Amino acid sequence: MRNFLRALPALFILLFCAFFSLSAQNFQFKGYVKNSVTGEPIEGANVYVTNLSTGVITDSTGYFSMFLPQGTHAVEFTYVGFESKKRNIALNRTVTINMNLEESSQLLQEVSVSGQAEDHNISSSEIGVSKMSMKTIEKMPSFMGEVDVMKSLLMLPGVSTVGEGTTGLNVRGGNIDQNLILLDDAPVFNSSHLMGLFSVFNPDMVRDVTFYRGAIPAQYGSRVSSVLDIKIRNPETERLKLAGGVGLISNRLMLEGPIGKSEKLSFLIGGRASFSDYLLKISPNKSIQDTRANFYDVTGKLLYKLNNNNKLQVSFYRAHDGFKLASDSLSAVEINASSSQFAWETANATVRWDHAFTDNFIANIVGVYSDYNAIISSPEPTNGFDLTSAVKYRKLKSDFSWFSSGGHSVMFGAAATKYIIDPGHLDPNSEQSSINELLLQQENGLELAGFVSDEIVFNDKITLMLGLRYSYFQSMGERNVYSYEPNQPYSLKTITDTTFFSKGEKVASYHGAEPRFSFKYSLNPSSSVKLGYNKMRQYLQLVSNTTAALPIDRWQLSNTYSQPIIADQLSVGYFKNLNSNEYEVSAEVFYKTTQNVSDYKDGAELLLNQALETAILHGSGYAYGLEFQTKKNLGRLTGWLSYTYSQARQQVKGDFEEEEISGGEYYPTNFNKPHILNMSATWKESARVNFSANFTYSTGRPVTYPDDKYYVYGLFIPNYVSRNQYKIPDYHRLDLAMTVGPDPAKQTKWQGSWTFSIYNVYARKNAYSVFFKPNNQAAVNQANAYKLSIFGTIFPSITYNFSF
Amino acid sequence: MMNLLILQHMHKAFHISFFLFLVSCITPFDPDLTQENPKLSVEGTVTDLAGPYAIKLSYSTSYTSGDKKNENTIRDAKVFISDSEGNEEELTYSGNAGTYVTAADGIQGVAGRYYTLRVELSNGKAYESYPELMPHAPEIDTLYAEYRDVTGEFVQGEFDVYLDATDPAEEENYYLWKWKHYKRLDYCLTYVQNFPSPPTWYARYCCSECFEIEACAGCVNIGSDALVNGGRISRVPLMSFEYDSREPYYLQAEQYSLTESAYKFWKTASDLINNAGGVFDKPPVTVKGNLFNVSDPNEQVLGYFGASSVKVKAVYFRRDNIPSFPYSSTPLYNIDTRGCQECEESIYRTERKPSEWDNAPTY
Repeated sequence: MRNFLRALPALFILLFCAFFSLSAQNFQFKGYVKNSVTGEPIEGANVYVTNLSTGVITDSTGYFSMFLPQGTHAVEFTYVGFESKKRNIALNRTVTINMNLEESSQLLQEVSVSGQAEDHNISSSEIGVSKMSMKTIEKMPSFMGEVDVMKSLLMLPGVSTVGEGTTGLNVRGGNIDQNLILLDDAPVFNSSHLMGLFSVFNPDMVRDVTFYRGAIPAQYGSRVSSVLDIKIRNPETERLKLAGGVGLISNRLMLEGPIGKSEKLSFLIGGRASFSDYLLKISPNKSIQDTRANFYDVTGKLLYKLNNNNKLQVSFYRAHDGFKLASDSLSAVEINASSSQFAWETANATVRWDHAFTDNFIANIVGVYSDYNAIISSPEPTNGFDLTSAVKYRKLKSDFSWFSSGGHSVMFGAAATKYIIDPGHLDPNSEQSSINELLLQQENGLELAGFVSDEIVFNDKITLMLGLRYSYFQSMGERNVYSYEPNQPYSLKTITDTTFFSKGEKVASYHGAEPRFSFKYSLNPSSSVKLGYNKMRQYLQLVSNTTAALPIDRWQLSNTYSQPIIADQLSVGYFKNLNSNEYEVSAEVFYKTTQNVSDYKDGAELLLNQALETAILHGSGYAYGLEFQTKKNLGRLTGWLSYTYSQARQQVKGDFEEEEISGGEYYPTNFNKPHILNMSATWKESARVNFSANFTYSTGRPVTYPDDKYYVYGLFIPNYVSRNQYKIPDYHRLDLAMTVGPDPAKQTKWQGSWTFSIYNVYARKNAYSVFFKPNNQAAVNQANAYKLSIFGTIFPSITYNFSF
Repeated sequence: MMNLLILQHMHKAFHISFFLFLVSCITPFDPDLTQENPKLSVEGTVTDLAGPYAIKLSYSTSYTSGDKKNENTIRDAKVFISDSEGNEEELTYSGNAGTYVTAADGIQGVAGRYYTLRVELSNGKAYESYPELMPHAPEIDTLYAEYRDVTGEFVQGEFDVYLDATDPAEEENYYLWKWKHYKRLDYCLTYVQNFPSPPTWYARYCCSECFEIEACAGCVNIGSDALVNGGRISRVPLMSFEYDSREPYYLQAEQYSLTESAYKFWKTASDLINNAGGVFDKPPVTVKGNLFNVSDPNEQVLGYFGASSVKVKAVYFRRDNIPSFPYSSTPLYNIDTRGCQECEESIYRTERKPSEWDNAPTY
């Protein structure tokens, strides 16, 4: 299997060249599809030529283009949740049409589970792609009333997490740092507020969420498992609008509208801040009363439509989390320190210029600025310190799209990314502090990538997507690199030499091709089979040896000793729609191999390690699985049911015993959960009232238990032999929600809506972790096992949203 | 070293405290551990102090079992200690707790030699340790105590004891520190009579001079010269004692030399004991010992056979220069005059006077 995966790229470059010839000319039919009320582009709308049984899907700007033979054609524009429109087009020259679709007001048609054209799932070559509109996400039950983009993804097949309240997603056997999370093209390094309780994305600001976990398109790179592409929505251009929400945890406020008289310039700004301290203050526990936990985020967008061919937009995002521990909560965990503070912060900005050279050749240039900072500080006079770390990311990219006659959609582009990582600076923050200053070396890297892809619609049966990305990474000075004794494990004691690289000098470099491929064959108008393959390279990883990651964990670039992660994934799927697209049924199988995944030496300390290569081990992994999903798109009841069976294993083999994990054998990854069953359903009671329910079941995550214990030198020592051979109890949970919207009959300016949510309806005490506590009585030692449940009760919540 | 320790703690405090405010609950749980075959586990150290030296043998038990500490001991093994000079001695069973001892005039540990342990079980299996070097240990230079005011309900203040030593420049050194506090006992028996109310405390005098020994069982205080090679090992926190009297406080500190592999054994063992297995803990590790089955190298043998040079230093700490008054909660005893109580020799009591005992400062 692995050899096959390696041979694929070569095969595939051949194919690429073969298909890149264009066929005879036709007339172009193109245009934009927009929401008639908001003017927002509709992505994924279906433009279908009835008499030719062919069609295309609009892109993220609502744009579509196709080449059709001369003549009159019946064209239908459809999008889920919108009224369909039909037009007859007389095509004897290039025809441009701007189609405004109205949101469907009919009860039975207002559905938006997938946010895609009705038969997109079977007609496109996409495999392993899910798209969710904010409408779907907002109707889902949520924890403490906070609409959560990240947690809603957990309801999709192939996605898991190590535990509720932990940050990040594990996608098809990949670690959490293997997901590229983009908010308007800017990477988000920490996707959670309050360590994993809430997502960092303000739901008011998000247009939609596209999630790729198989056959990832060539325009995406630098992470190996998945891409989560989140787009900030466009501001309304007609009038000034104020909206907001009041919840138990956070309050939101948003303002949008045109700037000046013309509709060319418009803005959107929204903020969200937690006021949850009062929840801590009412706690009976004194140390919790003195704890502070806060977050805020601000999202904004400025849109300037110069003319039909040029559009400039600036997006920005800032998120902050602050956390203060009272001194007595520290002593509760046996630490003598006065109060300490933790904070982490994201600051992102994106500038994007969209330009249409001709009607069928469009381009964009994007500049990205992203900073992530974390700080731990202790104000205690004798041991006071500040520990700061930072990731700085600067990117410039340009993508081009060319829609040709003959069914080609060609994309190509290039990107340059500069990374600067300050892994840690420990600084005594007072004169009396006994802490020694420690400054870890800065890491610098440059990533260059270019890609080209072509989606070819041969006929209504066969669609082929070929893509090739090539990436180059170099680690650069200024930097000291240690050399180690040969045939010895790397350790501080086996350092033989230090080489200095001056600023900008190349320290190490890696490069390689990342072919992408997907193929669709329609068996009949309502079913298709698809094949997808992708190879991905990742030059940046999160260094963490705990089961769940922390926002203060360290990031590391590829360097002399740490090679890029490389993943190959092959997926095959069967897709079928029933009853005129009312039901979608799909089954996907994937097999994925990963090289150079990290694990860590026994007991390694990573946080302030000056020579990380002495602590990191490199291994390989594989994952495979079956994902089954049934969706109901129409009717009063909508939603989906999905089941995933998957396995993920990892192996770390070394030349020395201390460089092996679990004796060099394959062991389950920390997030290996073989069975996951998810159900998400919405019942439309009336035009105002919706009920929704989520149910999730998953196998407990793997855990290492001691084989036995022994008593020597006055200590009871647990004896752990092989990693992750047990599992914690299985997890399941039911959530319910009711949303009451504004009365559609009353056309008042003030529109309010209520959301009532109940998390963990039957108050199951799900295991968050299982731990042992030795009972050290005089003569007897019994280690008792305990289960910790952190959301072990029912959480009702209420949220009020308004717009004006 | 200090930096790292604080950070580790902070790291842990961070999430533990964080989840305190969530509605968390802890319930007993049966992890359904599979019963493993019992494995041989070994405890024992040869030192350069005078013998006898003891080796303790036992079997491992299931992690959640409630076995007594002295259950599962092995009483019928043959145990040998040999050194790199060709000396060998078979140990004899002491009669309790799976402990085998050398003869009082038997093998004597000498720093710089290698020691090997051999164990032959009655089931025919034979085990050996890798030859363990007894590294040289430098003398303890000074022991000093610093007063810290901890005004609280039942405590007035505490003295923190630190240790300084000079580290030999050439080699890498690893240390284990222990302490013993001796206190002369007035009463060898105390008891309380609850009826008639209020309860009355009674005490009986010791028949002979008797010392109470206090130590920290299960404490692992280790260090290496990785950061200070060839310099002074300074301010090693040894222990703390309460300001409960103005009398001088007697303390014996012991500085053990360790090999690198013994240091790793202690380090991983003490890390593991503090690792509860939560999602923010590091993955647990296997504590590696230095013993193996002679005919089956894949069999796991637990524990460690150590060889350490030991330097002992005994001191008195004055407690007369603190402005505030000490706090002690000792009850008033009525003397039970029906004879006296014997001072029974144990790890908690001895009749033998510790070194330097008579050099107490007078004030």
